[in-house]
Amino acid sequence: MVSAGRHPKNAINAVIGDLPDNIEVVPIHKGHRWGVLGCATCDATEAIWSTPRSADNHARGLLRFVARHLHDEEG
Amino acid sequence: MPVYEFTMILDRDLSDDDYDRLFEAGLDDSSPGSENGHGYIAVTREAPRLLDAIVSAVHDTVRAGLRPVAIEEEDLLTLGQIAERSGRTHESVRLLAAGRRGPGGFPGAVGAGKASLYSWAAVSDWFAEKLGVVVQPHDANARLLAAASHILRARALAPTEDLVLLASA
Repeated sequence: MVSAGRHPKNAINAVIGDLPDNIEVVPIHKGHRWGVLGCATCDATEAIWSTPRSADNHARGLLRFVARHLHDEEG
Repeated sequence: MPVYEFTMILDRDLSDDDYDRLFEAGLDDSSPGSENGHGYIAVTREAPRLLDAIVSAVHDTVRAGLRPVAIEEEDLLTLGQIAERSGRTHESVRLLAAGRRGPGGFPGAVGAGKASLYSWAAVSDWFAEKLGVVVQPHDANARLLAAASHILRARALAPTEDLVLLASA
């Protein structure tokens, strides 16, 4: 049993479980989207699939979103 | 098979239904999103060549009813990709990044372990400043991505048959 806030793929949980303060994960469970990553600083969002083709590659894509939105560290 | 990463900028923002259409059209290996009112797809695609990854990702996007109008190169790279671009072995770059070889101060990463990503802009500056090595900022793949982006922009401006004539002139 997977809890409502926990993605069934560990590789994806590793990314969404360790987010900077300005990035939040919103579980929506709508169609193929398990949830959304959102940046509170610039309002950008990115889909988190429920069943991505490769969990590792999808996790890498989500990590790219996090890295692009480290607004505070950019100064 | 190699994994290629790039971002396609779309002709409009994404609606709720677009996400499912993109997934079902084959972009279940990518991450669609929205930024500054524009839709985009961060592609992470396994393919024999970058050209195959670009062509198939554009096809999938068009099949989902959206049009890519530009492609952006990915600045964030793994240590393996940095090794390839700098002409070093993976182990050499790993030791440089860990500060166990070289002058230290390697640019910080996002993520941990194999998933760590580094800014190529920051890393190439570090190679130049700390090692006095100018690494090629734009390899063949970067040039192909730039060419693909120009073609997508041109397609938004003129009919395909005109572009074919221009390309073969």
